[in-house]
Amino acid sequence: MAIGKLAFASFRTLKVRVALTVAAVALSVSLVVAVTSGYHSMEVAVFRYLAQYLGSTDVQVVRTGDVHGAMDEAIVEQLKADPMVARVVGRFETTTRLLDARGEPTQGRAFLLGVQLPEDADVAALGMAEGKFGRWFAGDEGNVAVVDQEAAKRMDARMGGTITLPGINRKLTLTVVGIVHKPGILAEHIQTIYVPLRTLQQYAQLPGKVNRIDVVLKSGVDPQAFARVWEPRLQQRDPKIKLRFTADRKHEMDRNLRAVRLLSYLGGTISMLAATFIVFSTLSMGVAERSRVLAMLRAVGATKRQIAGTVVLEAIALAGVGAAIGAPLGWLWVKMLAWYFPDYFPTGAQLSVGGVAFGATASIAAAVIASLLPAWNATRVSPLEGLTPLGRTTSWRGMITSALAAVPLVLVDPILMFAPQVPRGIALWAHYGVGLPCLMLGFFLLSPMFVYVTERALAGPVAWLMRVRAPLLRQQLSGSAWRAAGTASALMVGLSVLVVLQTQGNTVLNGWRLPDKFPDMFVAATTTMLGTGLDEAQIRQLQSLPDIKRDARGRAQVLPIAIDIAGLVAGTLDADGTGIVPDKTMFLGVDPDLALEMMELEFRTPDGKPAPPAERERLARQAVEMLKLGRHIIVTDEFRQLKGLKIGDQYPLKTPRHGEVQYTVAGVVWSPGIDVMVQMYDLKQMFEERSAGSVFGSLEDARRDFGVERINLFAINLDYRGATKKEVEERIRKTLGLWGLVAGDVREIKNKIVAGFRRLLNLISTVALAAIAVASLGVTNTIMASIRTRRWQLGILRSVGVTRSQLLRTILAEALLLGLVGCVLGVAAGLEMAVNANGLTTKVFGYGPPIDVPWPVVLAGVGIIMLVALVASLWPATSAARQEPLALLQSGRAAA
Amino acid sequence: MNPLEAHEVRKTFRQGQRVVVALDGVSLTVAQGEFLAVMGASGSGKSTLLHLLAGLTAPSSGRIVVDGQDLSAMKDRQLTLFRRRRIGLVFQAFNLIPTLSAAENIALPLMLENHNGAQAQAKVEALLGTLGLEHRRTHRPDVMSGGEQQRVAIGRALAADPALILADEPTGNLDSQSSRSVCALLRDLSGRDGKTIVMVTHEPSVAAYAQRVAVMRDGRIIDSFPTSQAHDSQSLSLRYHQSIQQSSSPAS
Repeated sequence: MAIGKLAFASFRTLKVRVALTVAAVALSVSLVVAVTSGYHSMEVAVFRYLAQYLGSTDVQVVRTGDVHGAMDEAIVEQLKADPMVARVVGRFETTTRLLDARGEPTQGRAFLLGVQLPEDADVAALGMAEGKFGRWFAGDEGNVAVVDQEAAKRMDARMGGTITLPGINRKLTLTVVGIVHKPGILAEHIQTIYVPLRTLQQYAQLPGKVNRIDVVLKSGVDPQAFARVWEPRLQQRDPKIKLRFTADRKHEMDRNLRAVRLLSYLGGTISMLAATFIVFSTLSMGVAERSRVLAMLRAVGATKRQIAGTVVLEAIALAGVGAAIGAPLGWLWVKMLAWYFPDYFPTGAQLSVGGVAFGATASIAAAVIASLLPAWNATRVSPLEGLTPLGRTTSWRGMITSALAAVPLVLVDPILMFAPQVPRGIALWAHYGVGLPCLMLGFFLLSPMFVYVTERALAGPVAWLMRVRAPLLRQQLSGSAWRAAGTASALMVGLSVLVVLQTQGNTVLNGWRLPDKFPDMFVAATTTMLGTGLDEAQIRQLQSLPDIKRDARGRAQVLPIAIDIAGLVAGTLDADGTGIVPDKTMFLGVDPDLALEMMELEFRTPDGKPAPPAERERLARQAVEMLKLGRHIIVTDEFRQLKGLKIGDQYPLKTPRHGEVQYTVAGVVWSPGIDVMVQMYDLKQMFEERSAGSVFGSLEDARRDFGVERINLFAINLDYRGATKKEVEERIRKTLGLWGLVAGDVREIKNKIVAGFRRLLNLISTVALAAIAVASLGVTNTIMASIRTRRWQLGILRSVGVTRSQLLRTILAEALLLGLVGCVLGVAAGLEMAVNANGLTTKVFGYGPPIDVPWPVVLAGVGIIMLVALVASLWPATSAARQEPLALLQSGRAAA
Repeated sequence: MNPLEAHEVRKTFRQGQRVVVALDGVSLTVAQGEFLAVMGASGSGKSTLLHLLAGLTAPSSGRIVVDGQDLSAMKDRQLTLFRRRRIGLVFQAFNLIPTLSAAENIALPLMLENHNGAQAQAKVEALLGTLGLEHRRTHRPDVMSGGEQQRVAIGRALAADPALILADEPTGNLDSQSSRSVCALLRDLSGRDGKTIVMVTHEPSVAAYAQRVAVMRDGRIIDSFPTSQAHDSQSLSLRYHQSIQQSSSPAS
């Protein structure tokens, strides 16, 4: 009871500070609730949609590892005859480029689904308001389509209007009869066009073929029992046919989403960490300012436990009130978002109970942890201390002990990431679960030392900048180093997250370089409707086009690139069940001479180091000659590092024709970017596999071991003759009559990918900005406390002739110093996290590109922190400066 | 021109619903080089008077003229600069900046004027010498005795060579020996160096060092007499109490 009274009595005298601390906790909890509930709302909407889409299907029959993946429709009839089966529906699914109203290709690709209605009940049940958004087509024929809202937007399609699909030898024009509404988040990423099954089969020139069969089993039938009967039967007919269980797919989807869900929690937690430091700072200030009261309490018989209890209770009360305000506030944010972006919240705002529980419990737990050190300090106040005229300043001993304790903590993460003894399988969890918390705690314990050093080093320049006397800034922060340390640590959280996110992003992007000499254009046959790619005759037609550049020997510079997926033999990959490293690689078959002539690949020394130009040329010639011998490969440096290979080593690849075949490493190159083209054109999608980098072999090997007969990707050098690339692309399409061909400039595509990645990076970086916003409340708090404890000192300064403006600038200079400490801590912690994250990448993926710190972004982050520090301190600084000297002297005396 | 003149100065405070009259029409003149002690019981308004004379707060009415300048006519910045250059303040609680050394505390008004050169340093050194603080030059307040801290405070008050020194109970926190030493220092500053000093105190033994005593009661100056009329601190105390008694008798 007494403890409670004491705790709450101190709140009454420090209303603004309590309000600011509660606001910081509330803001951080609201962010946790908003992010988790926002994500939960979208997840509910997506799952509801997918449940409808997947319907009651128990098993799917698909054909994998093949460009076409098409199965005979007769299988559907056979399945229907099985007494275990309640319903069977065949679909033809493929992808297509979207053309806008002018017939110009738009960004991205859409799913094109050939369905049979009304048999395909799951599709027919998809939400479409009759009348307003049209109706589903009946039957399986006719040039009609139903599109989702995003596809409609991109194609500028309206009800009753027409859309055009690019095809093999012709374009297909369809009348839009309906527009379905999908959850916005899904529609933005995956657009869908539904057409009658027969229409699509004819268009794809694959009559009587389907590539997905949905099976609904009768009640009580075990899907496994069904699989035991049907899998052998179907595989006898076609070994590539596989059965997929819907339960497995849902489970896999859930597993994939688990990481995103975890991220949604982590996003808010960063702000919570900043709030925790503010709670620490507030409690530390409270203990320091009340040392006389605490001493008096000790003198009248309060036990150490009672004193500590007061501080811990204060922490719980602050966090509890913060959480009580933050949870409904977060819910309000989500409600507002749902109201503003209804497409993203088709099922409305859904409260994440887990997020609320996590936000509330974590904030209270964090506050209790934050209260431990101040509580301990409070118990150390001697009953005599109340009589000392001057307050205690931070002792050197405490500062050094804290720094010494910090050193092993900041070393935990690098040890986990770089020590070879730490297995790859646990590195990821060790990094997030142990390494990062230790690192944050370590930097917090180092922060008083940073306060002292930064003040010593930068007080002069800051004083000069603010035109105040440097001695007046001395010890302003280090006099109460823990108070400043708490707030600086809160600022550190946001900046360090910004630095690590941006550095990692920059490192990945800048690690991806294209050679100087690279083909002008890549042409890809991207859809399954293009059959097996271009045959010999079509390739010759392409080579004979007038726009194609020719070399000195008159040879057309058209490089066919045969693509297939090679399986990596278990054991050589050293995958230990992390589930992160793919077990396939992309095999790119090329004409070695022509490839080298058209692409300047950066060949590296046998152990992957950059080579001087003459050596590079020799290595290139050697690699080409070896490739011509057959069963040799050129590997990317990532691949070499991942597998620990060098030139001359043999490496087994699983091939479709000849099983496991030993290939010899002929050369090592820096990632050339062809794999990017493959990614961009979705060529890998046809394999439904994840692959690790790519290897180059000869066209002959691609034919012999992988059975590639037709080519989907071509690198071309152009003889422009004044025409633009776009005009040339159009000419190629028209001449070859291949409307599904897409062409592009790799640099242009790279720029688009980089721009997209940067947008994503900036979006994620808002997490850091939210943490900085929370920390700004701490800055105001600290500056207010600093003013409060030094009011009499400010009064003296005013009475001996310091002007209001000088006083204002002195306080602002202190805030700038505080910001600088936060910046030094944030940049140091961020850089260490970036180095560790690079170590993690190397450990898990086998390759980490050289770290590339985006200094302009780091500087911008520093600028934001400094601005926040300045703005957050303006109000307390101007309030103090506006008071008359006597008021400062008298209120200071009263507070002392 | 007198270095200090106060005309009908009145100061009121609001205390909840109540208006408290702290000073009720005080008029005062202090001559050049004079050492005036203002005596009075607690709550008599002597400290308020000193704060008003220093320009730390503004009077509710009346005028205060220091060195020919009317303080109430000045804007805050002018007043601050004036205080920095023309008024030296000494407080009971010393009020030194804890993070500055003795020399830096003394140099504070010079620093604020951007006087950093050899002349300023020589001035500080001279003051340290005069005050007997050479050995404390680099020490911070927390390692100095009360007497030393007060001498540093007096040094700070003298640094800008002000026209007027105002001291608020300068010996209130000192032992008797330090107290005597500080009083002697103030007397010398007035007698030897011609500094004009107004000191607030409630101790007759301290007031005895001044040339004249002004007695305050209930926000008014009720009497003023030269200390030469009292032979020692005891007779000064007697004289002070007579003034108080006379002012409280029904006839007065």
